[in-house]
Amino acid sequence: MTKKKKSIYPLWVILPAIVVYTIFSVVPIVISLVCSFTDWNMGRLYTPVFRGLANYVELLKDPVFLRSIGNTFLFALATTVLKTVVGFLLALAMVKKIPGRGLMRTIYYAPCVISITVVGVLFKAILANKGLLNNVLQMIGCSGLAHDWLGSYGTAMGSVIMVETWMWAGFNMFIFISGLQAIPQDYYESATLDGATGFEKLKNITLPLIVPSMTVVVTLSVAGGLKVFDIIYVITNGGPGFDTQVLATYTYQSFSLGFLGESAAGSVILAVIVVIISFTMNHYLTKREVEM
Amino acid sequence: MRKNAKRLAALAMSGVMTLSVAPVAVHADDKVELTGMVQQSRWYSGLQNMVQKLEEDENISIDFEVVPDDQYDNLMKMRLNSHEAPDLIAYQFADLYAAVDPEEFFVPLDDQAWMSKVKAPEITEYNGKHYGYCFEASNGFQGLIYNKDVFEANGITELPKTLDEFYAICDKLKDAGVVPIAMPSDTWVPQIWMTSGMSRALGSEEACEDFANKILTNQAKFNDYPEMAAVIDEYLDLFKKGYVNDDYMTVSYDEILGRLASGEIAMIYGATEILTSIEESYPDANLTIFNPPVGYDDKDVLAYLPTAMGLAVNKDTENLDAIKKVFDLWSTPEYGNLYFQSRPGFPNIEGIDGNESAMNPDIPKIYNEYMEDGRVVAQMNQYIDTLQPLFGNTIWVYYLEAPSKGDMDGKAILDRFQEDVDKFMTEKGAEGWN
Repeated sequence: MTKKKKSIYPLWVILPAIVVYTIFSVVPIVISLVCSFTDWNMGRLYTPVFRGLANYVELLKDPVFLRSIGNTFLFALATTVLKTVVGFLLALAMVKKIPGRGLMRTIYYAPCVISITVVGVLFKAILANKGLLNNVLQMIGCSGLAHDWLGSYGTAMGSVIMVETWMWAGFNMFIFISGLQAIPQDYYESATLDGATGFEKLKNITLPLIVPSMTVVVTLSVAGGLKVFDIIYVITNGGPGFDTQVLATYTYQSFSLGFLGESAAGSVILAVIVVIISFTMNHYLTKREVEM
Repeated sequence: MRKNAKRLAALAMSGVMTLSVAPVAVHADDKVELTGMVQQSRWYSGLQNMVQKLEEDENISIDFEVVPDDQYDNLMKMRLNSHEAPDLIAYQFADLYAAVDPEEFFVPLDDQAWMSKVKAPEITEYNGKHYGYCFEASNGFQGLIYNKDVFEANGITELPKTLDEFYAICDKLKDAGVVPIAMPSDTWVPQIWMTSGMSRALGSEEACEDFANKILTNQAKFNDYPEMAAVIDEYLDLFKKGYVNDDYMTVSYDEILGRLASGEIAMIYGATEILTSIEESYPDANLTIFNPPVGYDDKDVLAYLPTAMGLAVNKDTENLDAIKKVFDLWSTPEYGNLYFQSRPGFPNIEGIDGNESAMNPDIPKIYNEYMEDGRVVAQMNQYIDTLQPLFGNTIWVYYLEAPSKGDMDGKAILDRFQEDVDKFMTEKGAEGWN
């Protein structure tokens, strides 16, 4: 005789969540997908006409759009690597029992709770041609290094990547700290008795057992990096010219021009890229997780 | 029995509460509450003062939603199309009519008493009807705003009459360590060289109208008119000659104004409206304006702005009578003068004082001189305002990108913009593109 498995909660309990999620997430996604195949624009708000894949073809022919895809990947890759490495190193330092640990943890975490607009204003002032950074460089006799940091592609993109890293490395630090604290101390004690060096303990105990935290950090960072909008918008607004344009800012600009169908197509492309890469990364990392 | 007593008590309490609230509700009903939307850059202190006085004296409040300029057009169109727009829409007339169809969305105001006192009714006219209340009759003209103290300190006592003389002045300033001309990264500023220059290059209203008509109906391309590329090339020369600040890709408009007032830079291309705003912010700065000589305009024409900030009334409003009362009041000197108290200008309603005594004396002098000779032409953006939604995201960006990268001349910029125009007009389903 088989015993029927009893659910803890009745199904109707999750109904409100499903309804809200459907109305505010699923329905808009479906509408966007449908609109991306139409010539919907500001002048034809109520009479869009089906035009097949024309919006997608238009986008893929636009050099600014292609550049924005490249920038999106560059931003996602660079920020994921930096946020993960810096976050992990901070976690290794902050997990140790050192004086002032609580204060330092708070300081490292603080940037991610500051409003993005404030961060934008702050760093625009620091990185301006006559800003704080160049003034400091001149004061210490390095005026040759002074530069209009947001005025050319390399330094503008690099600056935005650094600001994003500064904001979120502290957040990742906390995820890693919780992972590190979950590793039983017995493993390290046994390794010490066996004569393992610090690096060997890191390589053979810490890193394999921290993979679940790594999965969370990398997945969040990759998805966040691919969807980036706010930090680019407030610091460079896609400039100089169109140099730091990313998929989300391009889509926003397309929307500003009133090309709603094309804008929807851009959003769909962005969504597909985010879903494919995030799932692949998540799947790859989950398989490498080790049971404690 | 006990239940019934409880019900009766509850009913009685509800009655008492209703009666006690009723007088408050009646009092609240006395107040008329209107809604509006306005661009951030047009939320002038004069307008705010008029709104405040209206609330204090007449118990009519207008809750203006202040919207960032770059989001305004879309928000306005979206709200009008979905019939969720506020009672009053602030915009630049007659640019408004290029963005939305006034016959579909706005109330004609021809029957209003104040219409007989309007000085420039053509600004709000569309198919013989008038769809707006404009505060000003004109936004003035475009030209180079300069710091007189900087000119005098460098021995520049005469304004240039030719392009060579202009370059000589720039060289002199540059040698003295002053940045001759400033450009901010706010793209609407550098474009003034072109919107002014293109009209000056064509030289007359008729030529501009003919040009715009052909461009907008796909009968001609921008590069069919070589003078258009020449205007851009002359602007690009300023960068090549080193007359422009080197941080033009990042520095903000506000910071440039500070540098102009402090004498760090000598000139910025702008308009009389901008000069008035700068003088309001920097009252101690000794600034004025002139029409610069250019190589493509041998007739010395002045580009003016036949536009003015005003309000249109949403057709869906339920407060039309109150709005009519507001415009009646605002067209009196008691209210109308407030608009010009801190920003002198050219009032659109007779009897209102534009505070001209506080206006820079060169503004009416130059305006009248060119007007009397008939050497005026409207800026180019006016003629091709159908393309207005494109400007900020395309050609205005190219104007800054080209000198920065050095990979585009005037012709290349216009070729690139032509592609944007073709796409935009095709999407729009405009005549000549389908």
